[in-house]
Amino acid sequence: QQVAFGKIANNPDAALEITADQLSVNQENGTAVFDGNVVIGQGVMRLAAGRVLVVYAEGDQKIERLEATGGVTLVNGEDAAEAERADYSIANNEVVMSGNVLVTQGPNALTSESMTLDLATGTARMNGRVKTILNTGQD
Amino acid sequence: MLRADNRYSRLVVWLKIILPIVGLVLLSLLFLVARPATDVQSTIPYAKVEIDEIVADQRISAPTHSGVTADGDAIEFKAKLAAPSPDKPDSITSEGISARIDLKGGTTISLTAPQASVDGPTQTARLSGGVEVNTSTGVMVRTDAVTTSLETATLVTDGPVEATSSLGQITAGQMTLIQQNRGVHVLVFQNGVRVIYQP
Repeated sequence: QQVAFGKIANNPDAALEITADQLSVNQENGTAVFDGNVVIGQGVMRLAAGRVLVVYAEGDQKIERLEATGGVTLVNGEDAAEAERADYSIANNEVVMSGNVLVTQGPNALTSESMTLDLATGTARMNGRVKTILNTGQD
Repeated sequence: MLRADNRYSRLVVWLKIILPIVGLVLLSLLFLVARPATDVQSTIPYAKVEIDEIVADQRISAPTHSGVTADGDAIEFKAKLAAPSPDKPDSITSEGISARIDLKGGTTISLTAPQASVDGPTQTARLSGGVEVNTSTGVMVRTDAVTTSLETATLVTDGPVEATSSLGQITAGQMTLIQQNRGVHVLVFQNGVRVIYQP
């Protein structure tokens, strides 16, 4: 199901800021892991997670994607989404969240198995047992 | 001898006597008087202080200390100057330190610092005065002081660090190099880490 998620398109070239309690850089293969309430911020998008693994693109030193695990919350503009795990791929500017995803948009909420959020257009595609709770808000 | 009657011959006879004498005098002047006016030794200026200092206390110039740790990492320390530190017994203070740790995994970590004090009993060296750490994995760290051990490849910074790496700009409260269980060395930034990456 197609859902609008956050109005503002995310600029893929904006600087990415990652804060965490700890960062360990493996001195043999160079992999980097952030631990302890990690927050990835880019433009208006904030992605908070327990642990983030940095995956580099083949060969050059560019980051290909960030694997966030340990309970992830993604806030983009005024919409928020929660899941167990999220893969933020910088290359194609999209976040794939999986593991009972819960999206809250103002009063209504949607849950599904996984969600692919395209940051450039701000649209999210949810698939796998999507349930929508529309709160018409009489009370 | 036929008497030389005309003036020219008399002149030649006298010249035959005077000219060699003049030659002799010139020659002797050349050798005897030729010594330079001042003594060469004193004209070259050199600082006497340095020599007094060298003579006064024990010191080693350009000492190197290298060894291999139990788990196979090679550690090498070089310094411009080392002298026993006056206050603490059997520990050495040194200047212009450069240390190199070759990890078994193939990565090299090099440290440079203006001063360091090597503590004998605990076999640790504390580099201070602005330390720069470079690793072959492309991490360049700047901090004010680092304590590193001479026996194992570990490294702990005293305070906050700033680093640049393929991840971009890193600032952290502290940085340590520790060895995980499978012998893999990990550089850990802790006490609040902030990374700015420019895609």
